[in-house]
Amino acid sequence: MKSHEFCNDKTLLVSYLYGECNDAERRTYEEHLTECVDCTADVAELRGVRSSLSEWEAPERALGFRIVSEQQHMAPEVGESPTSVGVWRTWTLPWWLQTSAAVLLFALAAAVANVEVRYGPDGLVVRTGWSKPAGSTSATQSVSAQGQAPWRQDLAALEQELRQELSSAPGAPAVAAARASQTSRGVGAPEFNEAALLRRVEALIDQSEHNQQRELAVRLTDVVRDADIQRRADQMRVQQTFGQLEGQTGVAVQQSRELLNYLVRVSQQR
Amino acid sequence: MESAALQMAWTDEELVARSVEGDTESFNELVLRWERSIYSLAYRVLGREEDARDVCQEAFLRAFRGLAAFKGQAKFSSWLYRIALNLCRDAIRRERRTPLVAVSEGIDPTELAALQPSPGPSVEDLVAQAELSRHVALAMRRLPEDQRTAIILKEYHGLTFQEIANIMGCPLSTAKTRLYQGLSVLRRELTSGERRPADVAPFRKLEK
Repeated sequence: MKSHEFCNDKTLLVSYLYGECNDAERRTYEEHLTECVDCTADVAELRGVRSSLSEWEAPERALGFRIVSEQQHMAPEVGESPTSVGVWRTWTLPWWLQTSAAVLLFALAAAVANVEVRYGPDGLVVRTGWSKPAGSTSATQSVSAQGQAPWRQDLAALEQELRQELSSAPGAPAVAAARASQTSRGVGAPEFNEAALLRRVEALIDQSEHNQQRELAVRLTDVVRDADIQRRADQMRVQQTFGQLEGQTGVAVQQSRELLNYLVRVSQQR
Repeated sequence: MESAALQMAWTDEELVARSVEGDTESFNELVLRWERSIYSLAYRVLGREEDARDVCQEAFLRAFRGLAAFKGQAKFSSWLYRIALNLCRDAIRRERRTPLVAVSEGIDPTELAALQPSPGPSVEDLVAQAELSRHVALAMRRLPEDQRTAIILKEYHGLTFQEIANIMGCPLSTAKTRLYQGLSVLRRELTSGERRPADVAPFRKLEK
């Protein structure tokens, strides 16, 4: 018998319950329901169960899972990584080395351009050495006083020396002759003079370069030292401010405690 | 890399194809789409948040690693569900082996109450809801795993019976039978218990 079949096999009931049967099946089953009290009760009760089930909520969680490529993360360990990763890998230096390299580069650029960089109360100050205001700290003053343009002095000295030597060449032939006689070739005097001059100029330029390098080193140490001093001063200030805040909070707590005590006393008196 | 707006417009299958080609961001878009579903599935099957989170994370990791093996024979989501359910089964087995029985660690009703959208229902409603929710959770936990899984996939994930059969690896009729059996057990569990007003409340909805 057909209706009996539906009562035993519950698959159609389940399909009907979840609206997953076609029109023909639905009509057939609804027909069966009109005749079968048990199945009708079954459907109604299971609908009730479904309604209860809808009350069960899973917690909403922002999980934020992400797949991160291993190549990005562990490039140095991966042998056959793409070339771009390889490039990245060769540039991986220890952080302190990177930092010091950056500082060195920056300071070098600053020194060459004769730029003064300071971190002061009014933020990061960058200015060129030529437009220097009067009130600067003693640490930088020593550098800037002689460092107005260190190589200018050198260049001026060099120029002066060259002029002297050039003017002395025709003006003092005796000296030239005396020097020439030592080489036993009187005719070659002007040539010798030129070669000597060239060597002298080279030596002067070398010295000037040497001076500049030293200047650069001094400047670099000064910049680093200044930055460090400023940093420490800032740290001190921050700590002091914290201390003050703590003190203020303590006072406030003390006051409120006293007030509370007073209130309690007053209320007890009454 | 494509913009997020473009990724959102893509189908799961397109994102899978791009992921297979090595675009991790496309896979992360899939994660974003499905993590809540997978998490709630695992939560309802296992009953504990930490376990659900672990299963969810592991499921996505496995899916990512096994993408090449996924040939599009099923929907991506079905494939993902199956991975997650296998992991849940492993977790349940592990739990059975440990001497501590997890059933005693019920769901915190206050926690469930806190999850309801706040301004709407009254405190009484919240308590009643939490009570019923706890009641359902406990009844579900007592069900055989197959029946529980079938009910969860149908009720909370809205899958078709065919999809459920595919995921669970059983014939269509078996999927329906499991569901019917599970619902019948729940009916007994939910109506036989002490019928406090809180328990009865949702059944009144039926009469509308």
